[in-house]
Amino acid sequence: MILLINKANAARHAPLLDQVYRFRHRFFVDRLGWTALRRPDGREIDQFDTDACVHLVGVEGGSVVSYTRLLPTTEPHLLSDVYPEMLQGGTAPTGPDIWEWTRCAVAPEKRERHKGVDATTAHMFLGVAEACLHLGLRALLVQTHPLLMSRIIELGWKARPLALPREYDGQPVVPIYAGVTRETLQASREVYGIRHPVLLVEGEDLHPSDDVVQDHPYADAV
Amino acid sequence: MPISELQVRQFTFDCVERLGSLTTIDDISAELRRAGAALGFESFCISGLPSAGERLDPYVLLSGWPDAWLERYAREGYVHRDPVIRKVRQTTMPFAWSEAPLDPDDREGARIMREAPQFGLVDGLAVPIYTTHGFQAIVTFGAHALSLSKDERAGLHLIAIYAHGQARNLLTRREAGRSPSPSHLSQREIDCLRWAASGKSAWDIGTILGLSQRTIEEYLSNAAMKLGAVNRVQCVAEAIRRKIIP
Repeated sequence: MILLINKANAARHAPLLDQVYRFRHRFFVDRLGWTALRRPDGREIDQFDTDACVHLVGVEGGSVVSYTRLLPTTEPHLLSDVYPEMLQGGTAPTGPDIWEWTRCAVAPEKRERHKGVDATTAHMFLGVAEACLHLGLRALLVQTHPLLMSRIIELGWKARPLALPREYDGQPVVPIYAGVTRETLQASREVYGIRHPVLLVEGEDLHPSDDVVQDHPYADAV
Repeated sequence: MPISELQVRQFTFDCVERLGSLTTIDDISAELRRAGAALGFESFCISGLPSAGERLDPYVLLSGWPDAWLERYAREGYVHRDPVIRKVRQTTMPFAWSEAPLDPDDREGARIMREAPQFGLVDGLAVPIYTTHGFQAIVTFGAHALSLSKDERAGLHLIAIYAHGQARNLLTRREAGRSPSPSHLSQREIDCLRWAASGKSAWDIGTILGLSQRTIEEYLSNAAMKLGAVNRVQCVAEAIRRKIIP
C-alpha cells in the first residue's frame, strides 16, 4: 500500500511523516552519503517539504518501507533551484501538469532479499504512476542514474532525455522528461504482474475492494 | 570528425526520438547502423546475457555484427569467456572493450580478443543494460579504432538504452501475439532447420535435398520470419526451444 499524503491529510499523519523524515535521513544521508542533507535531529527535511508537495509513503507492518516525493514545477523545485546546471544550458518543460519526482527510496532490507523485483519496489513504481493519473499529470521530471532509464522505458513511461548523462558528486546522472498515460500504468502492471491498485488516496479511496485495504497492516491506522 | 557538444546533444536527441517511433527490428538496426557510423562504428549487437552453460543465440535481440563472427561467437560459447562480457556484468556505465581487464593467464579470453579484429572488431564500446526483473543485457558497438569524446560516449550511452528498450518492447509484444503452435512451418522449412541445426550451410542442404541453394535460403528465411527470429542462428535456437526440431 502506498499512502498519498498532501496538505489535506498531512496534519493527521504527523507521526507517520516524522517516521518518513527519519527514513529519508537513514537512506539518503546515512546510506547514500548525501552529507549536505545531514540534520542533527536525524530528520531529513528541506525547503521543498511544503504544503505544495505530495508525499508517497509505502507502509508495511506499520513501518515506512519506501518513499518518494512529487514537487510541482510551477514552484521552486530541484532542477530549477538546486542543480539547473544539469540541463547543460537547456531548458526543462514546466507547468501545472508537470511535476518533479524526487527522493525515491526503498528500504534496503526489502530489496536485498530479492534478485529481481521485490514487491516493495514494485508497489512504489506502481504508486507513482497511479498518483500521476490521480493528480491529472502529463509528465514527471526525473534526475536519475542512466541505468534506471531502461527501467522507466520498460515500465511504459514516454521518457526523453533533457541533457546528456554527466557525473555529479561522482555519480552519473541524466535529467529526463517522463510522459505518463493510462498505458504507462497498464505496461507497469504487466511488467510487475500486479493488477490491483496500490495507491491509497484518503477521502476518495481508489480501492473498490475492502480486502485490499484490510490486507495492509497500516489500514488499521488510517 | 569531432563535433561540438551542442551538436552531439542534438544528434542524440534526434536519434532517441526516432528510435522511440520505430516499429520493426530492421528499422532499429538501420537507425543504429546510421548512428554508429556517424560516431565511427561499423557494427553493433544487442543481446541479453545467458547464464552459465546456456547458449547465446536465443538472447540476441538484434545483430549488426558480421554473421560469421556471430556464428563463431555463439557456437564456441565465447560469451562465457569474453573479458568484455565479464566486465559488463560488473559495471553500470559504458566502457571501451580495450578497458576490459585481461588476465595474462587467460588464454581463452586473449584468443577472443585476438580473433575479433579479424572481423573488423578491433575496439568498441560496451553499454551495460539492466531490466526490471534483474536480467542483464549488453549493447555493443565495434570499430576499427575508437575515438569518442566524453559527450559522444554519453550520447551513445543514451542511444544504446533507447535502442535496447525499443527492441525489447517490440519483441515482447511479438512474443505475446504469436501462436505457440509449430504447425504453421512447412515440412520443407522444418527439414532445412534440422540440417541447419547440425551445422550445414544453405549450399550443403541444397545438395542433400536436391534443391538449389537459393530455394533453401528462401525456406530458411521464411522459417525465421514465422519464428520471429532476426537471423539464422536465432531461428535455429527458437525452433529448438519450441521443440519444432530436436
